[in-house]
Amino acid sequence: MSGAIPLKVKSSPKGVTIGGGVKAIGFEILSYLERFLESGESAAIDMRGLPMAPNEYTELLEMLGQGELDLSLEMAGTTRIRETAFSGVWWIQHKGPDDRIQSEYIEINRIPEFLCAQTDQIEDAVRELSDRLRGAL
Amino acid sequence: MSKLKQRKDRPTIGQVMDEAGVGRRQFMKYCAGMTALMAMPPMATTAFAKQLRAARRPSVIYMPFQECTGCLESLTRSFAPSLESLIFDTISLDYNHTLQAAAGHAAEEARLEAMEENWGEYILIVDGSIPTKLNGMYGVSESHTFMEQLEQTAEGAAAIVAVGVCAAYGGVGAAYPNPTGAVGVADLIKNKPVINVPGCPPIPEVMTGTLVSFLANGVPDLDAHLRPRAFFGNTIHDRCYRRRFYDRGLFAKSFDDEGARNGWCLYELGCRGPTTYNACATIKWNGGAGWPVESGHGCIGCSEPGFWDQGGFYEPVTAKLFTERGESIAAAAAGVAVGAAAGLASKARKKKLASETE
Repeated sequence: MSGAIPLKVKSSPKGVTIGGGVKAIGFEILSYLERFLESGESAAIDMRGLPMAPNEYTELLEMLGQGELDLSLEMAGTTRIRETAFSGVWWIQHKGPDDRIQSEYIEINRIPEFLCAQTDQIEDAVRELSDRLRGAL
Repeated sequence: MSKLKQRKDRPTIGQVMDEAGVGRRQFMKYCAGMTALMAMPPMATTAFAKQLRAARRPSVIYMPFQECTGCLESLTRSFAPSLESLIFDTISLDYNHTLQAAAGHAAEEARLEAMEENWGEYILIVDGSIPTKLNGMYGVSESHTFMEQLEQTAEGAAAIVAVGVCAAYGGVGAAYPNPTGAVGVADLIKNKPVINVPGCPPIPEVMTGTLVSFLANGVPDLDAHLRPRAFFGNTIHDRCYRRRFYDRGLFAKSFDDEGARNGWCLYELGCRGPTTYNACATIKWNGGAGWPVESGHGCIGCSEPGFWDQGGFYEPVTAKLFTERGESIAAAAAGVAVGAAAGLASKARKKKLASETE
């Protein structure tokens, strides 16, 4: 095949029964993933905007499985970024200090946008590092 | 000139956040929550965060009129303090006579001062309907009717946000027979942008989301009833997790039958989801813990104009139409009978006249 190093999957999605609602979201993710591969255009699906019964939420989670990465960040509540068993498909959940979910979405991207440094941040960094180095001289 | 300078000197939201020690990613996390609430694609978060950081800290004047304080309770006692407190820390709430310590002349002075300092730029939030009968004499404060106070404060506002169904459309106060002549803000103010955030009460996240949306992008896209489409673009029915049962014709017939226990559609029990535009099915209530339909009760349609006068809460939404049609059929039948009787009487009269002439 391509010779790429395979993704180590912690929980395989194989063998999971997929209900109609979950299958529909699955196909939406698949179409976004195919588009990303072709054009590099990222996408996201807001989990709170989907009319899902509680069991379907669990079904979708099981269907997508768990990949190698599972990050937890503490910033006024826990942010959890999980790589699913499908490379390029990320499950992102932001919780508030009260442990309630603020936002939750599936992102189709090489790396989640949330983790990327922003241009204005980098501009600030250039200025600050430069100041520090000048001060050190 | 000094006032203009003062406005320019007001810090940006980004500066307020930096001073409060809110990190960039924490702010991004907050914006991710906001863009999700506004049904914007999550990929728009970065651009949204940039616009919001650059916006100047706004002055907000909150005026309660003919209301029950339920909307303010919903906003301040919300279960999502991280979002709401961030907003309240960011805005400058210059007048709200329910929350502020000052009262009477001192409170009114604060309002006039905030208006003068921020003329043309402040956001006016209105809670409650405005009574108009007897020239507005049903609602008077500090020797001015609510109508006068609204018109005066609206004059210098950048935009008006009418929170709750009362401020938006008259709500409970305007219910039949509407003794005070209650109306919503948009019925009186025609020369300023009015954004309606109806509900009884509205979802707190929708109220804060609308404010944040205005700060970042100006007046949002509104529907025919002046509601932000981001929150009111779909019916409850469109986004309801019980919709699949409606599609299959599976309805609960009572609140304790097998259908109700199985979570079937509540349409026949009076759910107004099909005719109600709101975000309850997606944003939910109490920090996402649940919402009325999930708790087993139908939607009562509280974000729609005139919802108190739309018939009983436990009749199917179409029942009223059927009743009206039934009445019209009965009226038509009665009309036919009356017409027939009149026709017969006329014939009899003609016969009588003819015989008399003969």
